[in-house]
Amino acid sequence: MIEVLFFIAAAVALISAAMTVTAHNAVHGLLYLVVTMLAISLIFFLLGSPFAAALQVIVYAGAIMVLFIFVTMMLHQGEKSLLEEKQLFQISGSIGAFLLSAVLLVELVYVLAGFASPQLINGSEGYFTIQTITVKELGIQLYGPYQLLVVIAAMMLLSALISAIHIARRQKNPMQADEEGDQTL
Amino acid sequence: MISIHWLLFLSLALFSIGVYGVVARRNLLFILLSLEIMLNAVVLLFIAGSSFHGNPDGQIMYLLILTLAASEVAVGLGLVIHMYRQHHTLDVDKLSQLRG
Amino acid sequence: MSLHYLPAIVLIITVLLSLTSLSLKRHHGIAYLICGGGLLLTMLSLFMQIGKTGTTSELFVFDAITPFLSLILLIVVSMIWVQLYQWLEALDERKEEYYLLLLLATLGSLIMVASNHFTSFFLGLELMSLSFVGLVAYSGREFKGQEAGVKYLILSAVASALMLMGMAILYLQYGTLSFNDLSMQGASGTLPSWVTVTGIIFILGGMFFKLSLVPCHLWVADLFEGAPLATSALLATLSKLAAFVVLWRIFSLGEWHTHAVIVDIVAAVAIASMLVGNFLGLLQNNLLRLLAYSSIAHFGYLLIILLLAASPTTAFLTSTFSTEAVVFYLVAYLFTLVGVFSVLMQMPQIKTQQDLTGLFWHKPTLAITLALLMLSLAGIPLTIGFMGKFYLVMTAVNHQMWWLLSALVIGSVIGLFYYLRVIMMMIKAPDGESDFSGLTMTTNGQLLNYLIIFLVIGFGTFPAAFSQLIETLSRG
Repeated sequence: MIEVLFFIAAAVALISAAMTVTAHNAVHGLLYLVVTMLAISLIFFLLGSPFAAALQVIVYAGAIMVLFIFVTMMLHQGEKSLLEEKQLFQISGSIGAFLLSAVLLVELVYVLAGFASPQLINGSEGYFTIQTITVKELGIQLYGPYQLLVVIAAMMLLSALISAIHIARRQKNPMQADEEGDQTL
Repeated sequence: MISIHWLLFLSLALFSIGVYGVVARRNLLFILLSLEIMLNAVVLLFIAGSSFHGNPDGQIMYLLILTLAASEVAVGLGLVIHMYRQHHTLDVDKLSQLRG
Repeated sequence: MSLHYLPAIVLIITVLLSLTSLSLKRHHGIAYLICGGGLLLTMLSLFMQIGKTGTTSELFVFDAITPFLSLILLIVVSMIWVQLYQWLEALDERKEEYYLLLLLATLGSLIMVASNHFTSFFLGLELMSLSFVGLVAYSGREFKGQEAGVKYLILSAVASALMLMGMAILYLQYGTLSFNDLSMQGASGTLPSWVTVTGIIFILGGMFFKLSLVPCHLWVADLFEGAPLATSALLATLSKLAAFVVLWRIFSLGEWHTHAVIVDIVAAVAIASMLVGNFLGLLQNNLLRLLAYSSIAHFGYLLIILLLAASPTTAFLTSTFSTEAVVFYLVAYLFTLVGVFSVLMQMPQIKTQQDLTGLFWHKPTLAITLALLMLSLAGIPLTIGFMGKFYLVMTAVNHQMWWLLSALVIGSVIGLFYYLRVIMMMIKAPDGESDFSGLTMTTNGQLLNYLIIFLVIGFGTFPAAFSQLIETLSRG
């Protein structure tokens, strides 16, 4: 049973990834990408990593994609893009993404209702014995042997922040830009 | 039962779709999206390895890759905004001052 | 946290301090001094660790040679830092962020050089690459810099995705991310061995992007030309050194030379890089592009070292000899290259070889320094570059790698042409068109020039002291 769920999720992931790459409209591409992320998150769940699955939904499909959508929306301001807005909000364009995520939803409900539980997988050559890693275990590892890496990861975010702020500053008028920049920083 | 070969296959297929996107698309925004697909393919293998071998390293790697994805997207979108302001297009081919 | 983490912690504190002072008041001088002080303290804390007997934690390796390599990195960064003040003053941008990103990139490269685990390697690499995106696209008003930034972002992201894929495959195979366990070839592999080879090829592919070796070399010239000058200098030295050290460590710890396919691929890439890099250099008129192509060739030469373990060793060579060769070559190349860039930073208006016409008759110190550095890049005797190449050829001869050796010789001969052409241009009588009146020499710059001349000639003439130091370090 797990196998069937896995194959459906894998197919959803592959199809929506292909749709992302070939989409003409940025928002459609983003929606398909969200579906890919959700499908992958379901596979994580099937593999016995509920924490990773949750993070995939919250951080990836949530935070990172919202960032993308903000930027896409930001670039579409102005009178010229008002015409494009009509196309952007057509429901028929995103019906594929809707169907794919509906398939995922059915699967998730099926798993959660207890028809299939991840623990059923048993191990033989090349197959999984699921060993669930708890969040506690992960936390002990992260703040034990890996403690410097947590700091370095923070530095990486800081570096990205500095680069992004510096690059994306409005710099048409240098004087104005400086004043504006000082207010935002 | 999920065979590890199927997982490897799925991951490599997703990765190739991502590579295709990076190579074929000219819109910077879509290139960033394709990069996300590639990272997702990688992440899938790490989680699979983590539950296959039962050690937490793969999940830690997942957390770190998540951090990377967020930072990469932040910097990439910064460039997208900047490029759009200056050129009013996201076509990477329009950026071709550096030749020979 | 042990004493070994001290350099990283000092750098992190410097970054935070610099950020705090930036948020209170923007002042270029203060940012410059904080950055320099931080670099100095980091060097001191590294200096304390040199010569101590090695320990290895799970994530990092602290043997005798690692702090030495890190110290070399910091010296290179400091040599660029010295000239950064004047250079940034001329740049119509906000200045303080450059120091922040510079420090973060340095931190990333230190983490990378010391890494003994895929997680630390990956984080160090990404910290460095992301800071470099900011550094490359630093001057936003120039379209060139912006284009270079976009290219660098895409390519470095693709490269790291490739490497991550390789890591993931190896992790699935062996269930560990530590470099120490990489050599369990096939012992506990869950998948057939071709999967391992695939993983290794993925990692090598990413590495070739980072080192800009031949199949992945197309971006490097655009990057060098488009990025701000100081960033190009950092890209050529910092990022490549760190990437090569890690590649070397993984390659030897993982015993990748036991796979015949991998050896063939690396050999082919090495030969192609030597030849293509030098050929493209020959056709180039732009100085920065010329340097970019010469760096392709130089890292092609260095790849020879990776293959040493694959071929039979003759008796009189110790195993530390290849370590010595790598370190000597890297140090020689880095000092030479950072010298070239600092000379170029002193004359920002010079872009092509024609601009150099008659430089010798106007600014003899600059011209002589640049000429010496070109000779060192070409590998002419009595310069440090010659000693580096000498070591490399010796090891190659001893391992009887004739194919690679002949490619090295052909490449060097082609290279000689364009390095000498730069020198010829400078000696040529001034034609009145070139105007050097805008060049103002600063005391910093002049002192740095003398230091570079001293290093290049000093170590070239008396290499014994230096090679003995490296030998003791690689033994310990």
